[in-house]
Amino acid sequence: MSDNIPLDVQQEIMNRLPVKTILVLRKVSKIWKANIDSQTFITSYGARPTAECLFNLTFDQGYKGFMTSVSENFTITPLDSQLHLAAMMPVGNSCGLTCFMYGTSMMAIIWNPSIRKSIGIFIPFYTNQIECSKICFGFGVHPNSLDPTIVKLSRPSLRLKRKSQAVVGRFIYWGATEKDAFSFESGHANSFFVCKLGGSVVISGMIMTSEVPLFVGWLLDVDGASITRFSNLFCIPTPTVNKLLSFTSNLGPIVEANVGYILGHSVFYYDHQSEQFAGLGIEGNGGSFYVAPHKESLLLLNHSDRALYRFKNV
Amino acid sequence: MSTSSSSSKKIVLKSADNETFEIDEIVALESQAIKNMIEDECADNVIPLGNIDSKTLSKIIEYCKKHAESPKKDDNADIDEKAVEDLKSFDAEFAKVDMPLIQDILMAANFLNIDNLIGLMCRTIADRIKGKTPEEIRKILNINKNDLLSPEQEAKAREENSWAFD
Repeated sequence: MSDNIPLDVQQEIMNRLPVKTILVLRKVSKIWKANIDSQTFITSYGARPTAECLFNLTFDQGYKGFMTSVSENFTITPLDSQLHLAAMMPVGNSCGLTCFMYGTSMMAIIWNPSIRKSIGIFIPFYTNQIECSKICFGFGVHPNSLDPTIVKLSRPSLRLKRKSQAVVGRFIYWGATEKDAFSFESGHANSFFVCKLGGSVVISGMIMTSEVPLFVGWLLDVDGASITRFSNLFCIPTPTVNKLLSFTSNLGPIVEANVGYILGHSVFYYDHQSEQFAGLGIEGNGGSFYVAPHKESLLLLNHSDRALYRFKNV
Repeated sequence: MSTSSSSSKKIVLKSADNETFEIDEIVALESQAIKNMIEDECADNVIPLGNIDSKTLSKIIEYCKKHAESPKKDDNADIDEKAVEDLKSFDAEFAKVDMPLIQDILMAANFLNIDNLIGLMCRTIADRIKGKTPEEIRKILNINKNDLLSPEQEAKAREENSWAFD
């Protein structure tokens, strides 16, 4: 009987199911599998937040890389990505996909934690620009077509920060400093980072005042290349924060902080009510923490796991 | 809420097994397909539904009657919560039928283009297959044996997402 269920009605049913059930359904019959694997369905299913996972955290401990899934109430579940994480540098995340650069920027790896699948793309060396050592990568997923997109910038005119970008709508925003001038108090501009909060960009960092160091974040409402509103989001007196990673579900900053270990850093979240930072109990190398807000999607489902793609040189 | 059955226009639906159902036009209008037919004035007094049997059709009419009587959400924003709750529990009760009938209702609702009912049936099927094994889902959906994956394809699908089958 179910053979008669029209494909669009099958999709209506599947739209109400979590990714995990859809992966099981994929085994049920040829028709259901073909329908699930179609790009039309993968795109229409989209990317959705889940109750089980708030964000995925990657970090290094010594020479080893780790990935964990963190739920809304901070339950931590290790995630076996089967990826050589220590050799991978996070570039950006969008719609639940995270993009890493492998080795010396020769290959990009796109990873979908909700179906535990990754693909590799060799970065073409020749571009229409003059190739130079200062290369910066960006990553975003087109909001309508859900096409993963890698951007390669050769010698940007600004100093773009790595691991500091936010994708809002069709735009990628970077934290950047002008080449020979620091826009904030001299010397401290390096510690400013951007991340995403809803449909806005947050820029944050430490400001040294004469009395007490402040961890400050500003909310930027953006419309393409212009900032439509700029407001202070939080201002927390603390000496130890290194970097804003993301936000909890009630807008508390999640940060990487130095807690006195010689090399080790740890992840904390800020509770607005108690005005305290609480630790997640995860330690790792300073600067290695990376948070990708979780969304579940079927993106990459119709690629084989660990498929490698090579483009003809442009 | 009472339906003034005497004054309102009647529509007659005829099922595949030649049973006729006389219903108020307002009830029939829950179906976008019938609504279009009436608006285009291509509906005779009797609308034949050659692919819907009487058991399915009477269930669908039961659903449409209830939904036609209930105040619509877009009519005004502050309809009383009781009516919403009432409709919800009606829907929940309505969906407590066996799988073949659910699928028949779904197909008929799809044919008649009754959005809410398609949604309700899809949600019911989704709830019934959530967390089940492939074998259980095949039974629930009554999948044709000729449509199964070959053992190799099945092994491949399992290997790809082994963690999903725990």
